[in-house]
Amino acid sequence: MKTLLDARSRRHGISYLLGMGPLLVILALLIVLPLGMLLYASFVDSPPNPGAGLGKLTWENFNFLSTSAGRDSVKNSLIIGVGATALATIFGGSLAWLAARSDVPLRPFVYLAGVLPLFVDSLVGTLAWTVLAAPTSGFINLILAASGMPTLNIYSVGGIVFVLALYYAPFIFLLVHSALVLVDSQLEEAALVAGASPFRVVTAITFPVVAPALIGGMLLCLMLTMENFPVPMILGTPARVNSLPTTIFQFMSSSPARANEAAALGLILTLFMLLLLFGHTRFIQRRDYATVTGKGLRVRRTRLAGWRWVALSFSVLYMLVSVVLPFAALGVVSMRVDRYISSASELLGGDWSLVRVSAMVADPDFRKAAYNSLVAALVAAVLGATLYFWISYVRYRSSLRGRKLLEQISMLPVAMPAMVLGLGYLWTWTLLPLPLYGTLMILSLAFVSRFAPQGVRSVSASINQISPDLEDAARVGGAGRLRSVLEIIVPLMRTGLGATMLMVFILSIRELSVAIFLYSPDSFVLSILVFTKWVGGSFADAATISLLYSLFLLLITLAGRRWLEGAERA
Amino acid sequence: MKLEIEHLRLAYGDVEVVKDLSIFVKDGDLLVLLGPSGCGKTSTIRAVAGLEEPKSGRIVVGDKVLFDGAIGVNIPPNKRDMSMVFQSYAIWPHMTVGQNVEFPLRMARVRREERAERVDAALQLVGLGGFQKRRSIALSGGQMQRVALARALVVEPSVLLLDEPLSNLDAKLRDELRFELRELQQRLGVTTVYVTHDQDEALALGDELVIMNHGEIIQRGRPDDVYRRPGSAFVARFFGTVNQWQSKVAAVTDEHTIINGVGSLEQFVVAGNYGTVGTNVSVSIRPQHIRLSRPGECDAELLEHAVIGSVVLARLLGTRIRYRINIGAGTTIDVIGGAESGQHFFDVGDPVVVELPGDSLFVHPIAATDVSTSEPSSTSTRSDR
Ligand SMILES: Nc1ncnc2c1ncn2[C@@H]1O[C@H](COP(=O)(O)OP(=O)(O)OP(=O)(O)O)[C@@H](O)[C@H]1O
Ligand SMILES: [Mg+2]
Repeated sequence: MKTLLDARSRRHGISYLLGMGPLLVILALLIVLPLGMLLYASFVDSPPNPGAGLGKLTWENFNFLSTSAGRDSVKNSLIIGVGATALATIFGGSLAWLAARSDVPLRPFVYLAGVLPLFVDSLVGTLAWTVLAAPTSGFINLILAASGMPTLNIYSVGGIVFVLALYYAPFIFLLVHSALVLVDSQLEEAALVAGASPFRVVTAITFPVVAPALIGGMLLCLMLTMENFPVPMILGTPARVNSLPTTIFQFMSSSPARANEAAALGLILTLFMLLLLFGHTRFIQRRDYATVTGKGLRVRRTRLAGWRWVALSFSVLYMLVSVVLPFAALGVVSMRVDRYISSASELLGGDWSLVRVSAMVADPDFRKAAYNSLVAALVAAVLGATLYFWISYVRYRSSLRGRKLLEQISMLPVAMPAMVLGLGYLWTWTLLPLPLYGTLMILSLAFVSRFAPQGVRSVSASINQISPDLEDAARVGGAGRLRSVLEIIVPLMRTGLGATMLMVFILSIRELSVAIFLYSPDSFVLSILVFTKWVGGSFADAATISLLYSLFLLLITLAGRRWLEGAERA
Repeated sequence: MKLEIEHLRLAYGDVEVVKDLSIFVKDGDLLVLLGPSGCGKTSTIRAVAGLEEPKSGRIVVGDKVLFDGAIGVNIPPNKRDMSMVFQSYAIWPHMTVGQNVEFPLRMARVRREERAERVDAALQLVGLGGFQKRRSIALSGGQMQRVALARALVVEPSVLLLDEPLSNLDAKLRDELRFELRELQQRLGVTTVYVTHDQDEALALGDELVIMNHGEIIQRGRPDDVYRRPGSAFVARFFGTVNQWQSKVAAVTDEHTIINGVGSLEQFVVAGNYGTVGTNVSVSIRPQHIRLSRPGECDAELLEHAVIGSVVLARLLGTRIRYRINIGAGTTIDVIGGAESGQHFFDVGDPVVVELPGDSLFVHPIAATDVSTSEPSSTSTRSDR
């Protein structure tokens, strides 16, 4: 790498090949080829398996869409996406306004309530909610039945929408909160002085000003909820409610697998994502900062008066249903000796023990999955950070032709649903003559692709904070290209690179949907283990693993943050 | 080692910022590059350092070709054996002061013991002795600039490139370091290119001065020659302070040119030929070359280009006084006079005889394109010394 990125490489083919060549090959393998495979498989009559040869061109794979089951899965995906987004907007948006702009009591707590569910994996949250609100045996239903009230059924479209909304609301919360914090209070005060009621001020002034952030957040939320797999899978299957991702999964697990039809559905889902992404970029571009001055941050808080306690109760309730109750439920299932709870009065009584938890910790499958998760995520974090750095460096610190293309390719996975990426990987790596399929490595690579957009964006942001002069000074001082990167750029970016690695690590450990088509009996990870236990009917095991898995994520997150803070100070 | 730049062209995208620039610096000389902001000074020395790739041209140090667009030679910056002080200092924030200065020595594989000694000496030189262990982010702007200087001086480069290395220092320190730098540069005999905005620095330092504008060389020569005989209206204005007017040639005789005057002065008569009748010219004079006297004190008939004006503004600048004088027809003129005892002092409102000696006038024909850029009234780039 020593001279390959020198300014002249623009003209000299050989160093160009060395600088851009490997990156283009890597990105082709990791992103372009999987997407191409999906495209190919959607339009031919046989799956791209080794030795299958070229398939015949056909439109038949899309026929499923004209059946009633097909229409239902599209319709359900839309209902789930729109419904969950609407509800998440109500949760996230109102909490954000309360935390940023009102005099709600215990504001830091309200903020915490807004962000905490971000750390609960939607798979874990869903499992917990089946424990809480399964038709007859759910803990909440036991209490409701005991008090003579109508019971809930989490296995329904409503249940899916509710659970998704709980765990995706933090995305909206964060975006809206950061926009609200920047709104100049004088705008609101001007309206108050002009005679508007506090409620009118919110609807006529505050809302329009944060609308870009809000709508951006909603589009993001719509993308994430529409492509979500575990929630509709776990809650929809018993009720025979299918969405696009769950149908793809069923096509792939039926025998014989209906791979081409799965690909076609994946393509439809990808098109939805592209459409939303397009809307999102358009919206961000038209974003008007004129009214958000970023100065004069004297925040005027709306008086809630008698509503203060109502608002606080709302926040407490949200925290309860999103975090506290789910973990309590998982705790009950894992630690009560007697597994069968048939009435509300039995809920807290009975004998408790850690036997099952410690048995699980000693379980070879669990240990293997935990080990695999750690290794796959660690490898993904290191490889990912290296690749993202390399891309950002060539993009922002070289004059190589085609450097913008690198960035564009690495943003593609934003529009690729996790299931689709998994499918593409499956076909790419069974076809390629590299013995990676079924190994942990393939999972790591898939994670690297999946998180490339976030990763490249965060590394680029941090590289752009470093003046090019700092590197140039090292070059003039006699350091070669590689040397100046290692001695100057990397040390200066250590916090940024560390944060990126931590992000990739945590996201990788949580990722289920990408891994679902790629794991083998040797390479299953924690999220897969939870899922397969659930599929196999071992609900208590799934709950216990979920609990351990969440604890593990919490510890990693805390440790990572401490480490980053330390690095910041050093 | 000598530095030769031949027909250098440099562009960012489609914008050419250095246009066919040729410079020769003799071995051990110091060349000052002076020019307005954005004229391409930094770009030029970045090309010399190998940090930008020129479109075409040649850069040679000693007898080593560093860049040649025609045969495709481009030595990377780390192999050019140069030192550079960046305009932004470029001090590495994750290293101590000592580590910053030591870096080029490490790259040159100097032995550890010798490195410590040389870092010490370099820091001593810039007045930062004992700063080795200091964290470099905890330094003031001026201290950072001095660390950057020490880092450039710690090795003995073939060419030393300095991009406004003293711009952030207070006047006293700047004077001291400028002197030190010049002394050191001459002692080491290191070929140096020195970029500056500051005309004092250009006058005090340079063996040779190159004035640039819009990526081109406007004038080159010994600094005092350029100061005394600016080759164009732009140089007169940019290098030093002048009163400058646009005018026209009114008549031409064998040895003289008669040019329309300004204010209530009817005409200038200057020796030499400046074009045919009607040619646009600019007339400039430095404020300290203008003589003032009280009306009636001397015989107005004997004075050249004399005109009666009245003082609009008078301000004491240490040992000198700066006047602004109205010379009629809405024209004002800036004058700098001594404030020592024995000199006249004029008050605001005083009538005064203003004399513009003919041999102090600079007359330059102006191209049609230049007209819009030179203002009609007196123009001062910055306060004179
Ligand atoms: N990396 C770059 N990309 C595009 N344009 C550039 C770049 N660097 C400089 N320029 C442009 O090139 C021109 C010359 O810039 P340069 O930095 O050489 O000026 P300068 O003479 O050093 O100015 P100053 O005295 O303000 O430092 C300017 O118009 C500048 O905007
Ligand atoms: Mg500059």
